[in-house]
Amino acid sequence: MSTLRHRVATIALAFLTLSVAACGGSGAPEGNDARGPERTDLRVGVLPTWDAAAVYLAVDRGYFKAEGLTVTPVVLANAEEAVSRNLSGAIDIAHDGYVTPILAASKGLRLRIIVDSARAKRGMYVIVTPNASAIHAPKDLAGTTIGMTNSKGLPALLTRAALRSSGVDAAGVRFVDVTYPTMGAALQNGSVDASFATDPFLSRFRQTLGARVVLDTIGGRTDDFPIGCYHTTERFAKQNPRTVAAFQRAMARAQQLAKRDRHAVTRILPSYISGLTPQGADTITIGEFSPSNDKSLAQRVADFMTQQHVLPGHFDVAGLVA
Amino acid sequence: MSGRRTTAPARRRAGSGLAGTALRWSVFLVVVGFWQLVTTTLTPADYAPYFPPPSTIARTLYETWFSGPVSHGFLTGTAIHDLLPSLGRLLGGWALAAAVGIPAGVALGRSRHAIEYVRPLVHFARSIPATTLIPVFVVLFRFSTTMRVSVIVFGVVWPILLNAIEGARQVEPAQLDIARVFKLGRQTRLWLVVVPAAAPRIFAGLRISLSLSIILMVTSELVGATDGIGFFLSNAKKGFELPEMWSAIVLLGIVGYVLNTALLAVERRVLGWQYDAEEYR
Repeated sequence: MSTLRHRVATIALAFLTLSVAACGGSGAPEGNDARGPERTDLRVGVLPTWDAAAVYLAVDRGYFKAEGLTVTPVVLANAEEAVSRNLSGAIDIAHDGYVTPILAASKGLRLRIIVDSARAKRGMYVIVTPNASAIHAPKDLAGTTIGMTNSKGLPALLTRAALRSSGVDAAGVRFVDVTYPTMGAALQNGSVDASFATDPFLSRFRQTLGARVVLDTIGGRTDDFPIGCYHTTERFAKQNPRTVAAFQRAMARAQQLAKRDRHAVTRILPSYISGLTPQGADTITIGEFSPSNDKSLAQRVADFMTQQHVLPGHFDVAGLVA
Repeated sequence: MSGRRTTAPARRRAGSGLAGTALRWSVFLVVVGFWQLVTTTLTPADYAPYFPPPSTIARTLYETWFSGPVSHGFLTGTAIHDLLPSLGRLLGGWALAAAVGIPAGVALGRSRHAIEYVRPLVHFARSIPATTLIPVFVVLFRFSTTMRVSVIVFGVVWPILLNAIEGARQVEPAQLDIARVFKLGRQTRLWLVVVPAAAPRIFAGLRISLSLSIILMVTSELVGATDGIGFFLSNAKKGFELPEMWSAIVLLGIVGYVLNTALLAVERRVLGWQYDAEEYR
């Protein structure tokens, strides 16, 4: 029965680790100044997408420093990680899509969206097929298999909606999870018939596979769709209101700069998007940086999720954006 | 063999039957109770959804996987869609690795020179994590069952092979000499002396590879999958369906426990003579 003993020991050890991790939350307030931010050192997790450029620009131009904040950006692998690491306290603020925090909030996880980051633009989120493919128009996608990085997230939502508005039976199309590094091979050997793509991968598929765009998922109902935000935990927001306000002010300046100066964005992108060359950064398709902090955006995404049956019914985001 | 008298150590090992089993599981129950207590009282509200209490997990486990109709052996639609294909790939891959690894290992273990040539290759290949080869297998076999089984076979064939090699090398020379004196043929020597002597190591290899198979099964189901426990697990994680995610984790534990227990039972039966022999040493 040594295997059982071993198993019990492993479980007990795992437990101890968990409880220790649970007790050591984010540290005590660092700043004692009654008007300055409660916390001065912030770890901000970012997804390696173009709209995170605002954080790097704010660091680069000293916008955070001007607010008394020292921000360390940490690149995240995916959206669930943004939520789980935010809740664990490993990062204080996370750059994320809207779909993931809303989904998390609908399951009872206590997050707070504090900054609106970006909107989608046409040509940004597209479905591509390899050059030799027989798929040329949206209707040819009926009954196919489409690869995407998150078959439960924004890519799937947008694709399903776009298929429907093109008159394709979306239920007959299979979505499978494929990471971008594997996607090229999957497209080439026919594992998937088509792939969801965004830059810098879209440009790469064009160059290496002669990939062709067959469907733009942005348009009509999804024009200007909110695609990026920054969130923290409800607890952090309540304990550190001045820190959050300082972060919001610095980010507002950075967002405005990013919105009007594409060149500044281009220059900063290769510093955190691995494999992106300065030339590539100049030509990739990016969306719109959000100019203001509009609180109705999260509700628009939540309603869209309800329409697409990702959420079982109406979900009020009031608690999430409060 | 079954009609033999029970020897003293065997009797001690069995304990007093039911009471022994209860005692062993009591520790398990205490740990689960502690887990329940921690998750219901100590877990901060922020984390609570990530750590559902075991009672919630147990209920979700039952509802998601085992609340189906009697005609389906109590399996739910989810279990038929995700659990059965996973088990098929797991056992298929493991059996295939055994079918390749054991004969090859015994043959290599008995040969004086071949092993010296092959050993570096085997140690090189077994150091490669099978998961890193998934993109290669995707290129070769697309998102097929073959791709997933290949990942399992490549990952688990090495411990089986190495243990079979070591087992076959450890045959007592005296036993082989005696076999020769009795003029037993090559085939007979193999089946009566070499394989029985190597069997404990072969079973050790099979057991290590079984738990490894489960890990690789799950990992292979994270890429381009449309069914499987790994597929279910990653979907539940992405959808923040955390009790469902935990139910799949616990299900994997149950699968591992059941398969390991079954293998141990087979091992006891097959190697029973050896346990008996050890008691007279």
